[in-house]
Amino acid sequence: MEYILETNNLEKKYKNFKVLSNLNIHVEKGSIYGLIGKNGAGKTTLMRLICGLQKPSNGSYKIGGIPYKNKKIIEMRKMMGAIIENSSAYLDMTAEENLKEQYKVIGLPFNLDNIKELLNLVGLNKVEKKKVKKFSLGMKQRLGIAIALIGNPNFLILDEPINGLDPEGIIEVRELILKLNKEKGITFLISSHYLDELSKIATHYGFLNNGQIIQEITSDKLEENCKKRLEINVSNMKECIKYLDEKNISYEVVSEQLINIYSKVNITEITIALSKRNCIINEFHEKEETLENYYINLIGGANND
Amino acid sequence: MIKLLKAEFYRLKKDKVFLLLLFITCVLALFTLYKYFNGLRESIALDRIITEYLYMYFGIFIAFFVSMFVGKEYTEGFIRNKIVVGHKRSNIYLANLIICVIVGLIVNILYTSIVFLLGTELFGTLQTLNLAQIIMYSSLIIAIYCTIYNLITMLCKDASVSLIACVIIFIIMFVVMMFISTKLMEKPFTKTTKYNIYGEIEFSSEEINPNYPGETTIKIYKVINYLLPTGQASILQNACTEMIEPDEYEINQIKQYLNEMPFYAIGEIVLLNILGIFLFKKQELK
Repeated sequence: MEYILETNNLEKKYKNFKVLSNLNIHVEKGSIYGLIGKNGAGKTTLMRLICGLQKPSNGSYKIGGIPYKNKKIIEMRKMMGAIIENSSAYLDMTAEENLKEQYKVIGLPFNLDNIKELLNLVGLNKVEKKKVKKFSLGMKQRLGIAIALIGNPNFLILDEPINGLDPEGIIEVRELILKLNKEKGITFLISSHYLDELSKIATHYGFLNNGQIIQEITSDKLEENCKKRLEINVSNMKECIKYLDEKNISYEVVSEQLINIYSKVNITEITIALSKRNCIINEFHEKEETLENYYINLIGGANND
Repeated sequence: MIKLLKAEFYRLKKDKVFLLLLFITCVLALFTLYKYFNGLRESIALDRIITEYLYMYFGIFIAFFVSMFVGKEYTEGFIRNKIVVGHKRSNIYLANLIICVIVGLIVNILYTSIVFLLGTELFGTLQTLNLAQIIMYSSLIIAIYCTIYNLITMLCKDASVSLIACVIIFIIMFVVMMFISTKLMEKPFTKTTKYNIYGEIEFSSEEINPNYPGETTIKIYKVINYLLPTGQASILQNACTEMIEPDEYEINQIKQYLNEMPFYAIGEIVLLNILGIFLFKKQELK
């Protein structure tokens, strides 16, 4: 597995307060990694550390396999772009001028076509001469992404990219992220409070709580965990499994008495069939979890530990 | 570093505060010439008019520029872009300093050029220092002002907070300079004057001046004056003051100041920038 970002027991302390503690995260190359955590969980701090704005108190991280203390990390950072908290752009300058400024900061040669192409990509081609201070929040966010895209980065870090955006803005940013991931193969690390929105784009998730990653999971696995299911409590698990196998019904054994059935079934039919096999259904529930529920259950579990 | 400087120059060309600074400097140069031409035409030296900008206005103008230009990097988040794409913090710090010093030199040269070109016709030629000397001393003072304000702004991380801090620092430096200058003008001995019964002025014999601070205190005051850009601008201004009856004690003092000032200035610039880079490297950015 090739990781563009991995951390090893990363820790960040402010005086005596630990914001991140033994944090381990693995961002696969080409993925869209959704970082989920409540306010104060440490999402932005993690991003600041990765971007080099702050230094870890303990632990380490690697970008593209290069440890952060290695001098070559500067070269790796040139392949990175980031928007932390809000997009960085000079408000008195136009979108075009901001892009020119960033080209100069990176030291890349450019012409007007490069700039137009970028503005076109983020849908700001019609407002290139407009001062950024007159932009809506969504436009600023898209300009921030355009600035971050200069230098053809292969890794973009976006902290709450849809915060404060209207529904139209949310769709624009979402589609832009998907487009960049698909067409340019850019890896994304995105933090967001809008879990349902994140679930529309993320390929991997990291659940952050109290400064620690409590679970890393792929979207496929998460979907499987969240999908519609029938949770039944049975008196004879062995017979129940035998019956489900015979009928080719997909299931997952949760405990000695609890089993999840994922195929569409008729509960009356199953109840009769199982009772004939000396297996009684004590209880059944139809369940379907959203990402939000999954997260809350996970955090609840973590907090109870 | 070159990349950063190119980017900063690009931004400078679009910067309204810089354009405003250039405009104000032009107006001020013309106004100063007009003011002296209508007032002290006979007794004022062109040298003094040239150095007046640095002595009176530059410190506050450049405080405004540095805090706005550099502070905007923080307020509008562009400093993050520079770090994220791999620029070293020391380079970011120095690029900001260099751009501020260049702006300082541009506005000072603009003022000097206007006053020199028009003023030579109105007030005659330079009488104390030559133009190269004035520009050399001015450049050092400009570099110190920019070093101090850049250090404050890079540590304040906010344009408005750093503007307030820079203005307060300027006021403190100006007040301290005024106090020290007054003290340093005191001579060890003084002659008091009084009118005799015929209404004529009579000089008493030399008496010990009670306001003379003493040798050790004078040394301390001198060092502080050497270190303060306001103090250095004051020394330069005094050096350029035409004295109708030059006082040997004062002339010797000013010559000594001018000889020693560059060493103090360069030392101060180097030390403050090392300190600034060290602190900036330690800073936790948001």
